[in-house]
Amino acid sequence: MATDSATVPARPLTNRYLLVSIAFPAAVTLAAIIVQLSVLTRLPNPIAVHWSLHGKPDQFAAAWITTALTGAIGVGFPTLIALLAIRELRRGRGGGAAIYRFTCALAVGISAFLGTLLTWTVVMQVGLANAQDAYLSWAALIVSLGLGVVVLAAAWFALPNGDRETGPPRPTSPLSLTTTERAVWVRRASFSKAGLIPIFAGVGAVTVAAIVAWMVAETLAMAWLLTGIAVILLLLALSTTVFWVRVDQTGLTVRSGIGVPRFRVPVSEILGAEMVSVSPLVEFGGWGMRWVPGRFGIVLRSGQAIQVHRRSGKQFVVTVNDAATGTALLQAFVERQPRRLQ
Amino acid sequence: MLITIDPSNETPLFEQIAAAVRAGIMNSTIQSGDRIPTAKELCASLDVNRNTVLHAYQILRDEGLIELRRGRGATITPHGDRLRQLSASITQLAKEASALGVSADTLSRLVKDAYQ
Repeated sequence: MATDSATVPARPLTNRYLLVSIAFPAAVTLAAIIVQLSVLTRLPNPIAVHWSLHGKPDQFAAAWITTALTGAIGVGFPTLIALLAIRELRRGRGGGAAIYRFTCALAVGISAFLGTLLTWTVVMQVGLANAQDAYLSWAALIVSLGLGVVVLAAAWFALPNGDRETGPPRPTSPLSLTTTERAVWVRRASFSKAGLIPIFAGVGAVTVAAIVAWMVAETLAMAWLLTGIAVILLLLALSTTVFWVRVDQTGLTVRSGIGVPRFRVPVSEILGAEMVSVSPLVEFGGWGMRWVPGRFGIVLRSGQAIQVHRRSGKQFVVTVNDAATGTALLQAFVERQPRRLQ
Repeated sequence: MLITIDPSNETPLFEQIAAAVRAGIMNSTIQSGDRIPTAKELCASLDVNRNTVLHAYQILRDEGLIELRRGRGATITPHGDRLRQLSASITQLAKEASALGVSADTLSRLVKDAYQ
């Protein structure tokens, strides 16, 4: 097996996680704390720390509690997550980097969201005589949430991948086909039964919520929204349960049971095909149609899969039974192509 | 399920397709309950006439091996399992016949007669 040319050595990986997932949120939290402390003397005592849905303050406490909370969550949460992730990455579970990368980015995003929101609630009470007048607007929540999302995205892009297989494909012995022979290999691939249960339970729950909303709603907007969400989720769930995997002279085609989406890799775009074994959680962070940098997979269960190395450098994977035959046939079609100058 | 056909072979294409499905059932790559694609999809992949595929499917249906549903392709029936049970005997018989110099046609005629 060819050497994995892109194995990331442990040190730079860890340093990047330390920087993005611990140092950065710590700096942001420190700034938030400084802002809060600087206005401490101009705040009413006590300050409002909890608001009803209408923005009216209903709980009050000493100002330092908010600041302490900002510090504890803003620094503690992402640090804890990052340390766990770094420990797992050091253990060589680099293949699962996608999941650690996302979890850490999420923690950093949450830290930014809470830091912004808490600081906003403090700063808005500056100059108030009485905390009872401290009404909280939706803008505070929206802006903080927006900022949290932006920071999450930034953290995601800043965090590195773990090592992943980027070597050339393992040689696959192609199915022997004479020049006149035509062949097709078709297989139905379905989502692991155990995995379907939570998916359809979730869809069911939203459907029930939609039905309840229609019966009880004060405004129809909520009912329509929930119905829309239920329909979208149902379509997504159905589209992901069954796929047809086909290898023929045109290449590899993977088509959802309900018709769309369909994914096609033409033979002309294939460098090589190989059979691999996939661990969905570790390699893709879950099941279904999954993207990780450089790799797209239709990952319906763990185990054997056809993996295709595209000329673009990216990989396409689909879990399916009898992957050995499918791979061999695909390789045969790839090798039938006239040799192209690289 | 793998289907290989050779237009340069003298056996009619629909026969080759039916034989490929039968072979898949016999060697367990196709199981009872498995779906095989619609004639429309298969004919596109193999670059043959749709009627050729339909003919092959009708043969298999008459043999009780598949069940045809409109627009949903075909499903392998449990009958294939019974057929598979003969697989070992058939291989043995073919080997013996071949060693004795008996042709496949003669053998199938003898088997047909044995049904009386």
